[in-house]
Amino acid sequence: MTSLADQVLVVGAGLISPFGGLESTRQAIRAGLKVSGAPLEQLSDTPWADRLAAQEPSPELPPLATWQRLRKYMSAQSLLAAVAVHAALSGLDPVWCGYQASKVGIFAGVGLTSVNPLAGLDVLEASMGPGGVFAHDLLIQKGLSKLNPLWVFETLANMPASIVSILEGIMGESAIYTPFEDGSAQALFEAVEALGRGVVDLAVVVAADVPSHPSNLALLASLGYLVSGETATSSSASLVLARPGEGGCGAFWPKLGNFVLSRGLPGEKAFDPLAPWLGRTVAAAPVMLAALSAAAPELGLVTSIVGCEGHRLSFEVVVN
Amino acid sequence: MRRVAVTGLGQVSALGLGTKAFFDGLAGGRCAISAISRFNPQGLEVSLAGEIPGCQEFKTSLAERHDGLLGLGAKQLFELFSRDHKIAFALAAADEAMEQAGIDSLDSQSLLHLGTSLETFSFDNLIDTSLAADFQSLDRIMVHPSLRQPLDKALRLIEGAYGRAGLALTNCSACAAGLQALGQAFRAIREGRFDLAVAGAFDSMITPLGIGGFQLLGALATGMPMDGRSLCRPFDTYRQGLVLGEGAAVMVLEPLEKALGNGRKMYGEILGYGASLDAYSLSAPDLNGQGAARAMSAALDDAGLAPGDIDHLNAHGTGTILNDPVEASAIRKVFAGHWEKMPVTAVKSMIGHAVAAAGALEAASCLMTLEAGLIPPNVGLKDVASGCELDHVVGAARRFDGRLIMTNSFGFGGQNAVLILGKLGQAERDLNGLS
Repeated sequence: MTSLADQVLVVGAGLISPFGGLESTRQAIRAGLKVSGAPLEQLSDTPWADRLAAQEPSPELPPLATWQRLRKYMSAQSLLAAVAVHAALSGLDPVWCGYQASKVGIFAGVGLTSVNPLAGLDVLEASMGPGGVFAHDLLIQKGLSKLNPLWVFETLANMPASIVSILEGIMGESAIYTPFEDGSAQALFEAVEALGRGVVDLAVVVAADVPSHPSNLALLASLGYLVSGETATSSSASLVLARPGEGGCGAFWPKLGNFVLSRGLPGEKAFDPLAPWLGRTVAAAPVMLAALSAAAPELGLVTSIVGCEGHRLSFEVVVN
Repeated sequence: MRRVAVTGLGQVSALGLGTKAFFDGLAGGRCAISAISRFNPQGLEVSLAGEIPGCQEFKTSLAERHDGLLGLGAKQLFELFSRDHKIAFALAAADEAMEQAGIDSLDSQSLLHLGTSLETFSFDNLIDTSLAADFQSLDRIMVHPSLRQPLDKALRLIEGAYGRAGLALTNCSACAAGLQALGQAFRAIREGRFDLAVAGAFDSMITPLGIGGFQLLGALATGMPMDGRSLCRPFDTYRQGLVLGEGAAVMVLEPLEKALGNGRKMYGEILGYGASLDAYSLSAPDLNGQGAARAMSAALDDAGLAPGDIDHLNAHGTGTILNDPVEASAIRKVFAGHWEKMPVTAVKSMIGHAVAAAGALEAASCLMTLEAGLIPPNVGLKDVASGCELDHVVGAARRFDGRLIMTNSFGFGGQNAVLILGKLGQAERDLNGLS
């Protein structure tokens, strides 16, 4: 299906990859650099030992206590999402391009829950009886005390978008999808739809995923979504979209248009045009692709992506 | 723009399996919150929840019915369901909705869109495994895929049973996920994107980790019922917090014209959808109720209705200290001059808070209210708390001959979703033999 809005104006973009932010990643791709992956020790002697994990991105955070608490208590996905959106919004002048915050929406795609293996290990160790057997009563009596008090917020899949809305003051419509490329492709498409419907004047799109975390990498591999030799890369990206010819947003970026969302045949392989440089960023991939396509049209990226479950999103870059 | 009819409903809730058990229980004011039986909760502050009754038998029966699904035998399916109960709820609710709608397959013109919230980490799966006896390998156990199911697993099961949909989406907007999935599916049908949508939500957090996690947040009601009332007491002076429930509700949505042409039974139609963000707190609602009010107003605008048109409102009504007065205040603000004569109920008092599934279950309750002409009571309410004044339906079901119902869902993290459902007009009811 084609989107309700023919074209959308890109008024902000942010991205976090192992190469750094949007500009660093753009330069790395132009230079032909590729992220390097390494096998994970936790997966040695398993059927997934030959899948690789890229080095985790380490974004610089604003020097505020809120961001430090975010790093300490919330998931890696939430942190990556928040940093990418903050970067995408940093160039907006005036705030929200003069629109009301209640007409700014957030459309998010998030990957598999980023389980913290170390914290989980503490919970599990405390829940094992003398014979090394897990027991519910021990989980309740001992294991729960090892749990992050904000575990629910660390784990709920909507938290990356919720945290972004709170940090940035976004009050309009929202939609959050999970767990692979398919959800993020829908989030981007939905943002364009929302602009076309007029339910938002500005759409913040964000996608974040941490497929390089050991438990996520193992699950992706076991599902056949990450094949032998592929590298899983944690990353995030954000776009701020507006309707062309409206409001006070400057048109500093090319427009994106002709969005088409469809679904291929069963068994169709996932295809991410950025994978040769960045590895598989899974749920982050559709927005990574759109952000880099808009920010770096000279790269000539293929603007079509196919997700694990066959959802295909394609779009065009319209250079001003 | 096309009108959107609901032609199939399926429910799994603490009140039982199926639409009849669900609404008979609600209309009868039966509180299904009871002692947790799935595991021994001793040591937790919480001992009550809204569990699916007869869950083992339910899963056995469902697994046998779908023997061979995705290449899995009944025993393997049962094990899959036992590792993550909520996917079984989703499949059973979809089965009922599809059967009611007389539809046996999905295709490229179909949308499958479900909401859910939290991955289940099935530590149970470690019991009796040889790995569990080896502490040296615990760090490897923690990353083993057998502990988890991705949140789209229910979609794969439903597509395995009914065929591949044109799009298959998992919304994860916490407690607002159910209404968001239904709202987005409603738009997709209204705008002609799809000719059929199977939409709703499923969830369960009644596990030691799920309840333990919510307990750590201080969000749960503790203790026991009092005065014969539910432990979940929305809008009551003595409310303590939410009581977890679980379940699923799935609807089949079709263009009204198409449903009429096919002679389908229709439960009602969806007329409007609105959503908003509080941008306030991860755990508390915007204390001014502005986020909730914006979502309600957006739904009214979307449906082209005025506040005075709404005949009844199903509240999010969690029974938490903060939600209820904030929601009541937002309702009074949006429905100024009308709220005094607009009955409000909160069915979580009977089935608990099914988290992501709550909105879809309550939307289903609204459709049954339209059909049966009965508003279920808020069985946890006796002493209306200061600030929670509304026209509450208490004690027993109230007769209802209105046409338009609004239902609210407000999620952790400040995501709000509102749906407006309507009774079919006389002309459509005559055509369908419903009069």
